[in-house]
Amino acid sequence: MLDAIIDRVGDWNPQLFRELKGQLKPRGLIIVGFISFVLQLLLYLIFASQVSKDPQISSIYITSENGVRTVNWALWSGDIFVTLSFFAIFILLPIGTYLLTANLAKEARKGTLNFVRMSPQSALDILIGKMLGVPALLYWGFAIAFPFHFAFGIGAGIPFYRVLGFELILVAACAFFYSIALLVGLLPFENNTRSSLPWLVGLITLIYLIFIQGSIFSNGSFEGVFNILYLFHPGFYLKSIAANTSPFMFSRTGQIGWYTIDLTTASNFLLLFGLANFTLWIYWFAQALKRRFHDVRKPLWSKSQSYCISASFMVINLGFALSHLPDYNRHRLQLLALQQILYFLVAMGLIIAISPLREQVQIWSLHRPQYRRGMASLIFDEKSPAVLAVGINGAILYAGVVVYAIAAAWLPTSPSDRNLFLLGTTLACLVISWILIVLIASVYQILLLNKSRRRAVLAKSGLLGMVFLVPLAIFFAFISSDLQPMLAWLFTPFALFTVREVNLVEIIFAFVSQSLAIAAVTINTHNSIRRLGASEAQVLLNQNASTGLKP
Amino acid sequence: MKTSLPVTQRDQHLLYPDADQYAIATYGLTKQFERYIAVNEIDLQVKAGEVYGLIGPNGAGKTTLIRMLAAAEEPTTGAIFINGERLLRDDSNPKLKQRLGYLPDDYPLYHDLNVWDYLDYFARLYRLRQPHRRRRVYEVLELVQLTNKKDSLISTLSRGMKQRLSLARTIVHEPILLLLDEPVSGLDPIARMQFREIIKVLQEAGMTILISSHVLSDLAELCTSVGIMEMGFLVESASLKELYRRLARQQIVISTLGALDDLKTELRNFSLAREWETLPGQNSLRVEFSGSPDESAELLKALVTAGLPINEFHCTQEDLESIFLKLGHKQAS
Repeated sequence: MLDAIIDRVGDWNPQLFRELKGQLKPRGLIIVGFISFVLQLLLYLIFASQVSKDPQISSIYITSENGVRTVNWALWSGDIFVTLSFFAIFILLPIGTYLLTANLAKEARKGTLNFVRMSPQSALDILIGKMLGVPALLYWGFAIAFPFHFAFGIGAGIPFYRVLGFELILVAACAFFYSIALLVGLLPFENNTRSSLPWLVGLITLIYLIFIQGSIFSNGSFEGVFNILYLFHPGFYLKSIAANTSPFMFSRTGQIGWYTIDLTTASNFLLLFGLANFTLWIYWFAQALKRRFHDVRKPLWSKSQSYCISASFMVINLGFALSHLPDYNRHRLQLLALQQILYFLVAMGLIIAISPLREQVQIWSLHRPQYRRGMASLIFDEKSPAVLAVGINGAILYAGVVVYAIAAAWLPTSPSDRNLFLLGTTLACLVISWILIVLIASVYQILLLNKSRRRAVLAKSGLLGMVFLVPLAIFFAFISSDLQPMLAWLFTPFALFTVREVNLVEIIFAFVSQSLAIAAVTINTHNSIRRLGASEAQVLLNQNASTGLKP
Repeated sequence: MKTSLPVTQRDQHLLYPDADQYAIATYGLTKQFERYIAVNEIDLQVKAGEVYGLIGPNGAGKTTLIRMLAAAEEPTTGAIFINGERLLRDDSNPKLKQRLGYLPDDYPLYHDLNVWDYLDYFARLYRLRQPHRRRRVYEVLELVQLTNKKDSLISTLSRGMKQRLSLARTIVHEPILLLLDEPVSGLDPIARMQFREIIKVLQEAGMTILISSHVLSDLAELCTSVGIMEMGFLVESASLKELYRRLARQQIVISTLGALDDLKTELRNFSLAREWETLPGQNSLRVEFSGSPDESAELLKALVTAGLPINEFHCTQEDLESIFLKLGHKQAS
């Protein structure tokens, strides 16, 4: 019977057929089914002991009035529902990401994926097959627990459609995290790095889940700055639908808004919003997967796609930021600076994602006339250097900070309190920070053009050094000094933290010196690219001349 | 130089007007790794139904060329056409991929599957439907003589069986173009012979086959055309007949029961017998002879008339390996 089911599924997706054939063996199914059943039974017995008829036992589910013990079954069911949900979140996501990364790493190591790539199946069909098939035993374990989970959700008084909505969120979260895991599995790592990669991916997923869950338990808000991180955690939606039925699990409720909507009270909207958000990001990661499946050296996204990604991120994050509008006191300025740091980090991610490798720039340089002309080539052609494209992405992202800063200066304050000078300084620091993004993109690109075989590692190290080591060096150099060098901080991602202390001369100096640095790096990049094109032509000529085989 | 940038159909026809006349046609195909050019501006044409042998020393670029033809490697520049259709390395041409079969030299397999499931999986990947799929998997299992192993785990198969299973995987979807990279390397003589026989069956079925091998005797037996690669260039590409006609010398092996010196003295009277060598351990000479069959008959008659006790006289032709070495290439056999 199992074979017949797999056979039928295989007609729809051959890759799923292959994975199920490899994973679903009767013995494995029986063992996982047994473990799932025993865990459910244990959970039930633990909770059942809390509502024992033994009058000696008291618990949060039992109220006693005039000697009559009443069990609050809704509360009891709600807590079982929430506990089972946590099992699902903390097992499905980290273990699933581990399994998928390990599977792709193994295929890459053995070279078997190449045959699949050559087949007429689309990249997405193959990867969907992997996503559904590789963690098949995990799904089987949770499929057995599904009726139990669903029943206790309904038993807790949560409306049917919300329980269903949460299950869908769980599915969407799996698809999102598994897409990232597949993408990591397709990255061109060395074989010895690949073996540790699955552990790393699983661990990072687990750390994210624990960290955000802790925040959801404690208060539920990063003051609007990093709220976007909640959207990828199913626990956030669980809190929304089960806060009333499990008040002891989610004792304190913080308010999280998105533009004018209070997400903590609008449960139905939050579920739909969450599904839409997951769909959006799954779509972008699917685009990257499609590109990387056939060519692991391609940039993750094309330049045009990166602009849309920046805009998507900015619009979603701005919604959270604007719902927590600060005015210009010292604490609120720090929140503004934290917003800028978040966008800065996204820009750094995009630098890594869209910068073309040396060989791609080489092709672009050698066949320049066959690409778009002038700036259009730098903005849209994916083999062209990515510096200008990163600049555009930085501008799109920082537009969010500009809107936020202007709104913070205007909306919550009376006209007499509006501090135009401070707003001006903020915007100037933002421009300097944007120039720093372009400068880092230029340095990253020029390091990628390097002749060294380890240039990809070199470029990433350079980027990390500029983002983290420079601020750390300044911090430790002046740790015992009362005088913080504001000018030096302007050359770091933390430029906006200096808004109150920095003066106009320092801003102008930072602006001019960073612009000059960009000009110098750009000239250097230009020369490197010209040399690259020339050197390829030289290689061709030399090879032809040395062999005398063909003109 | 043409690049792998997308071109319109009209441009394509103008740029590559004869592409649809060949099963394989490449134009300025180049692959560069860092500063090393593995394949250098190759214009290869293989007609439908041909068995094309690709020979050349290690590092000549054969594997890279085959990988590009199989869409397993992205060309740096140049264009590939399979039966007149442009081959691109993305999701854009599933029908074209359906026509290609590629067997690399290392044939990685899934060891957790059994033989039947492995072939069934690939048949599904190539969109074969039931009942045709089941029939086809049986057919290829029979062809590669693995029917009795259909339920065995792949991990339990011998090297030769794995190689044959890989070939079965390569042909299960009935491709019209087969790309075989060193398919007999590491196989024992019997497995090699079995493999050769399978290739002959596929050739008779009308497949176009491009095969690279260091075993030139196999290629001489199987191929209709040969290409020689060196340092990334395709330095020779011709039909085997043409190659023999141009480069192979006729030789006559003559054995005598008498003294070899008498035979040599008599041969000096014939201008068509240009030079000769003594075959070690035998009372025989290998004579380079540039005459026609009639003239070789004249030679035999003259030797017998001269009273020499000739006990062997037969004409041979230089083999592919000798021709290859004569061209100045060093080919491992």
